[in-house]
Amino acid sequence: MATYRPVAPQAYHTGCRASLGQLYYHHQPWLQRLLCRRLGCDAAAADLAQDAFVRLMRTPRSFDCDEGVRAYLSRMAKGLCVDHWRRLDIERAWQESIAACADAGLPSVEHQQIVIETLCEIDRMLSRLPEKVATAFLGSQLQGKPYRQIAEELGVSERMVKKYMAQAMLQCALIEAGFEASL
Amino acid sequence: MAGDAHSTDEAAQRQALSEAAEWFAEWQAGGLAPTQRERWQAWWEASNAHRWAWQQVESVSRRFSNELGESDRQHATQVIGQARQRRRGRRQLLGGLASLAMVAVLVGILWQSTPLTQWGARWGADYRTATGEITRIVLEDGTQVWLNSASALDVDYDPERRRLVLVAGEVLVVTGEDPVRPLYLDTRSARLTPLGTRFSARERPDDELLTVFEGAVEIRTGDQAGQQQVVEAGQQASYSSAGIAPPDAAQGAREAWASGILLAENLTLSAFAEELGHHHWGRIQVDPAVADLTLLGAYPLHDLERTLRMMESALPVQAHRVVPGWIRIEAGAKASE
Repeated sequence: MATYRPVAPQAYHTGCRASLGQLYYHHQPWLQRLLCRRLGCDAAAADLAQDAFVRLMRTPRSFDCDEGVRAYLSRMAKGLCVDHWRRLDIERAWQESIAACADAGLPSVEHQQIVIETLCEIDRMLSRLPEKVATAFLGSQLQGKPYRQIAEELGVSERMVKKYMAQAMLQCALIEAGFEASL
Repeated sequence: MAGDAHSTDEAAQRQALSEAAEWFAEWQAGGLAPTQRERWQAWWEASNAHRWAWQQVESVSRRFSNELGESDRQHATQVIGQARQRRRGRRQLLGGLASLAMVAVLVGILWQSTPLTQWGARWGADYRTATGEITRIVLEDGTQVWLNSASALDVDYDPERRRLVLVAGEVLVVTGEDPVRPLYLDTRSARLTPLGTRFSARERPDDELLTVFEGAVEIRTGDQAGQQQVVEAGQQASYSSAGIAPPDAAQGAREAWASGILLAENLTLSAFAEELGHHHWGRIQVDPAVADLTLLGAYPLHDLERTLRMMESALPVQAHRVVPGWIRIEAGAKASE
């Protein structure tokens, strides 16, 4: 009986000032497992787990305890998954969108990557906003639609569109200024 | 970028951003009338915080225009709209799953110690698995049960109650809700009653082990001792007909197998080999010299070769095949890349 029972997680030798190597050794396996469970894909999970440790390396921080490391990495994993899915969604929608008007000729792969990256960034900034607010902001900023047209399309007043615009810009500016994290 | 706005407090900066956003919305309405423009100018000059806030607004605005050409932008709205829609759909699906109010129960016993008399019961059980097999079954009330390798379960439902009986091995039970009939799991020495929770338990030769992942579970041991104890989330407690031991920290390994994973959280090599042995025919022996080395990680239960290779790269050991079906793990150089 005694031989079976593994040592409780507190016994990891992370301590207060664990090196990145130690953190990697102790935490990479479960992190990858967590990501794999979420993404259902081994390869993507391995990549994202790697990303998490690269981020940890770029912005080193010290942890009081093992739970602290786990909580931090779990949060990061969640963010990485959301980003991963966002990118897949955007890529897919983009491919569909350009396939629908193939006559215009395909943009270069490099250009597509830049566009997709930009769209991910925009999507990230707007992700917390309600549908109509995001639609109004995109219509104005990307398509240059006047408020009147946006108001008609959304079935709201022009004053409401102006309110939406301020709301969306405030959200983006708070993220830009680092007061809030994007989702 | 923030300039000396850093010195002002965050509340003032947020206020300035909010005002800047209002001004931005005015600008975008089709430009500012001369009087408005003067008011904007006055606002902009009034403080560093205002100028800083306006910079933030401008840099957001640039993100929408810089990288994207005209045709990209026409696509962009549609692309982001679709991505948002997909995400919404996914969120609804996840919300639906979460609201099923599932209760998970995991129970096991050490296979090797199973008395021969239990073999009979095992073959007579409602559900059973062979060595190396992990199966999921769905019961009439929507309850799902995962049967671990070499395990057996009886299902005894009637209008008053839902009773599950672990005959041998290990099970993970995820129960659907039933407002009328309580669900419990009878093990060798106790009745386990989930109190709206997710938990696990495992039988061992001398005692049994209950692990609670969420909520709480009541253990009520058999007739002579008749003890009871509620074990809370994040805890595990061992118990037998003689009594219930004080709880300590929970381990995740007791539910990972349902996904085909051998979860090693500082598991000693000897315990690791023992666990692997439950899932593969034959004998896995560990040299006492390396038996106390500990492993950490997730290993594929069904892929013995891969598991052994992973073990070899994590520890200075090597697995030798003595004869087919007999593997010996002993000290050895790390496999070269």
